[in-house]
Amino acid sequence: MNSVFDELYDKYHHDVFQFLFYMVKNREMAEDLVQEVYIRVLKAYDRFEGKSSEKTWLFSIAKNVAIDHFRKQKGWKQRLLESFDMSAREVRDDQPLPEDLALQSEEIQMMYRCLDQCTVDQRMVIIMRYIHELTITETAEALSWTESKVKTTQHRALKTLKKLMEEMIEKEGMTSEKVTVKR
Amino acid sequence: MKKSQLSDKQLEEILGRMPKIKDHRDPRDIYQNIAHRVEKRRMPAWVIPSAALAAVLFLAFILSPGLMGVNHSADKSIDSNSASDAKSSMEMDTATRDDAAKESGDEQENTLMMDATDKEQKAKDFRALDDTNKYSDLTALYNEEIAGDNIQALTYSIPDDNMQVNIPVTVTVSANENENWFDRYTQTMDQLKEEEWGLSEFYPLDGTISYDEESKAILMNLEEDHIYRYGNSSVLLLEAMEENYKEYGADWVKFNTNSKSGADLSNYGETHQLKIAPYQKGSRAYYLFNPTGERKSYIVPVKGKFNSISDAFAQMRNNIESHRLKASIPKDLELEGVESKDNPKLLIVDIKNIRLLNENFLPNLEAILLTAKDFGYDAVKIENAGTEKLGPFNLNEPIQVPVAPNKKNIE
Repeated sequence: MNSVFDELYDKYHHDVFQFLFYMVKNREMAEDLVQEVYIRVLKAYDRFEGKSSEKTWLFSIAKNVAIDHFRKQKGWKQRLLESFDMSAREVRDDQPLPEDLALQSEEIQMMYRCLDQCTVDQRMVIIMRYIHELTITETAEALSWTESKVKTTQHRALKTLKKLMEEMIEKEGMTSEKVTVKR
Repeated sequence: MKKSQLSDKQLEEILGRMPKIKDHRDPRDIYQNIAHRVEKRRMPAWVIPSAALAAVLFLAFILSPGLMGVNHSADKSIDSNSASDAKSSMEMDTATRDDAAKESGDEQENTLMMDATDKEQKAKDFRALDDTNKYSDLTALYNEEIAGDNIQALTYSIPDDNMQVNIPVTVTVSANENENWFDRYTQTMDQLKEEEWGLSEFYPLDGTISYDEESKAILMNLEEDHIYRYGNSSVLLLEAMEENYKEYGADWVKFNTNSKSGADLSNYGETHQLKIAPYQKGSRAYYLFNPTGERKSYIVPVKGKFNSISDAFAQMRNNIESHRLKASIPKDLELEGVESKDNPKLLIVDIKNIRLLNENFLPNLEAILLTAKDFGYDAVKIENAGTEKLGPFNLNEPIQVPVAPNKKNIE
C-alpha cells in the first residue's frame, strides 16, 4: 500500500468518514465518498504546501467532495430545491434510522433528524464544531470562510436546530428531564 | 399550550453526544478500491496506435469529399490516394506522438504539445463554427469576427462544473435596433447552453431582472424559495452580477423577495443591495481552465492587485490548484512585457530565451492578450517568437487584443 495513504488513514480516516456520514447520512455513500477524498488527496499531496494544517486540509477536501456529491445527485437547482425547501420543512420520519443511531437516546435521534433541515452550510459548521470539536479557526480554514462567517452560521444553525427540536418535542413529546418544559 | 425551551448549551451537549461513526472496512480493501485511480500507470501499448487510427479515420473522413470534388472521374485511384494520404498522416502523427513522449517529463512542455485527439477536437470546433473564419480555432472572440454585420457580443459569467470558478463566456447575437442592451442581454440568458459547454446550469437566473435608470440599479426580484439561499450559489450569483453588468454603468444590484426589499443569500445572509465595484484597469490575470473531461481550455480571469503587467505575468506562471486553474505562461519561457515607447496602447512582449513557438502556444498567447487588454492595451507585439506566423497571427505585426474571452455558439 501507499505510505501516504497509510499515514492519512491512521490519522484521519474515522474523522473524515464520520464527517461525510453526517453530511450524507448514508453509510454506503460515505464509504464511496471517503474513497473519493483519498483520490483527490493523494493526487494533490505532493503539492500540499502546509499553509493550513493537514487535518483542516482533509476536511476541506471532504467538504468539496460532499458538495460535489450533492450537486451531482441531480441538477443542482432541482436538488437544492427538493432537499432544502423551507416551505416543505416537515421533518421526514419515513427514513429509517441507520443502525448506528437506532440504539441512541430519543433526543439524539431527534437531533439527527433535525440536522437534515439545516442548510448545507449550517450542517457543515455544526458537524465540524460540535461533533468533531474543531475550533472556530480550524472550521474557518476547512471551509475557506472568515471566522466571523463561521460564528454567524453557527449561531443561525443553533437557532434553526433549537426551533426544530422544540417543534419536534411539542409534536412528539419527550420524557427526558434535561429539557425544560414551561407552561 | 406547552412550550419547551432548549438552551444553546443543551443543544451543544446533545450534539457532543452524537455517536462516533466508524468505517468498518479493512484499510487494504479501501486502498484496493482507489489504487487504480491514484497509481501512475504507463500508457498501454495500444493507446498510441488507437489514437493514430482515430486520427486517420477522421482525416480520411474530412479529406475524402475534397478528393471526390477534384477528381470528377471518380476512378479507383481515389481509394488508393486517400489510403496513401491516410498512411502518411498516420506516420506524421506517430512522429508527433513520439516527440511528445520524449518530453513528457516536463509539464510545461506538455502544454505546448498537441496530440491527435486535440487536433480532432479543434477540427470539430472549427467546422462547427465557421469554415471561413480564421479565428474560429481560437478561444476568444476577435474584432474581425464581428465586424460589419451588426453583431453584438454578450459575455456572461457562468460557474464551472464544480461551482468554484466563474467563467466568462461570450456569445454573439444580431443587434436589433429596437431593443436596448439590457433587454437583449437578459433575453439571451435563456439561450445559453451551460451544460453542453461543460459548465454548471446557471441561466436563466432564478428570479426576474430589471433596470432602474434613476438609481442606476439592477433590480433582482426573487421568489421566496429561490436557490441562492444555499451553499456557494449566492457567492457565484453576486460575482456573476458584478461581472455581467460591470460595463453597463450600473452602480448597484438590489434584491427583493416577492417585491419586498432584501433576500436571504446563504453566505451573505439577508442582503438588500450590493455595490458594483467600478471596473479597475489592470486587475485581472488570465489562467487556463479545463472542466472535467473537456480538452479545450477556457481562459479565465482571476482578480488581483498587480503593480504592473509583469507582475500579472509572474502570477500567471503558477497553477491555482484549489480552483483547478492552470498556469498560462510556461515556467521555462522567459518573457517581459514593456509598453511601447511610441505607442502607449501597444505592449511589447519580448521572449528572452528564444524558442520556436508553435500552435500549442495559442491558448497561452490568448491568455497574454486578454491580460494585456485588461491592462488597457489595444495590441501586443511578440518579439523573438522564432516564427513569423502563429495560428492566424502574423507576428511581424502587433496583434489586436480580443473583444472578449471564450466564445461559444448559441445557434
